[in-house]
Amino acid sequence: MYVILSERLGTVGAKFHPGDGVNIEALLAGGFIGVSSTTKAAKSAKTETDTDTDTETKD
Amino acid sequence: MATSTLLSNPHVLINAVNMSDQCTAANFSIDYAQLTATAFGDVDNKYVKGLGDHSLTLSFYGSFAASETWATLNTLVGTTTTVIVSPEAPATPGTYSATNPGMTLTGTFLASLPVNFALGELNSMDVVFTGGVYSLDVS
Repeated sequence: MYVILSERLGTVGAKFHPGDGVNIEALLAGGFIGVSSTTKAAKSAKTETDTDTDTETKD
Repeated sequence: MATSTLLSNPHVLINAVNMSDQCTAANFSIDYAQLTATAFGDVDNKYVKGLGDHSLTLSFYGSFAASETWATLNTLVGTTTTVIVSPEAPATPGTYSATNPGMTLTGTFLASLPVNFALGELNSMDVVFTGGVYSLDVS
């Protein structure tokens, strides 16, 4: 997924959908578009918390 | 008799980049090889259309600023791209019409990038895109 970095291509920040024959490498090298991050934030690890309120007592 | 007079103000897209404000001249040439099809018995030459060999010659002011002429063209040298020239800017980007057609070369090749410097003049870059598939976008 590409994002527009120059007004010469369109609205800055909008997604860029390359047309037929468009040279993506040249646009990237020229700084006209960038690669948007597709990695999602890692989920936090599930931790089990002991919600048991019972207390053990020894006689 | 001319029915309309238009100030030449074409719209130029190079690799999807709008370079109209740096462009000073555009010459879109649609050419086909002329193959002889004349045979015995004919009294006049006949021709049929051969391979297309189209080109687009453009003149730009030579700005080296970010996102300007040099940044657009330098990375295209020795590669192929798509170029579109229309008589005027489309009302909606990418939407052309019969009266404002998008003359398109897809997969056209840029072989060189001459940069012209002259005393007392704005520097310029004149490029020629050659080959590629010609189409006329009127959608």
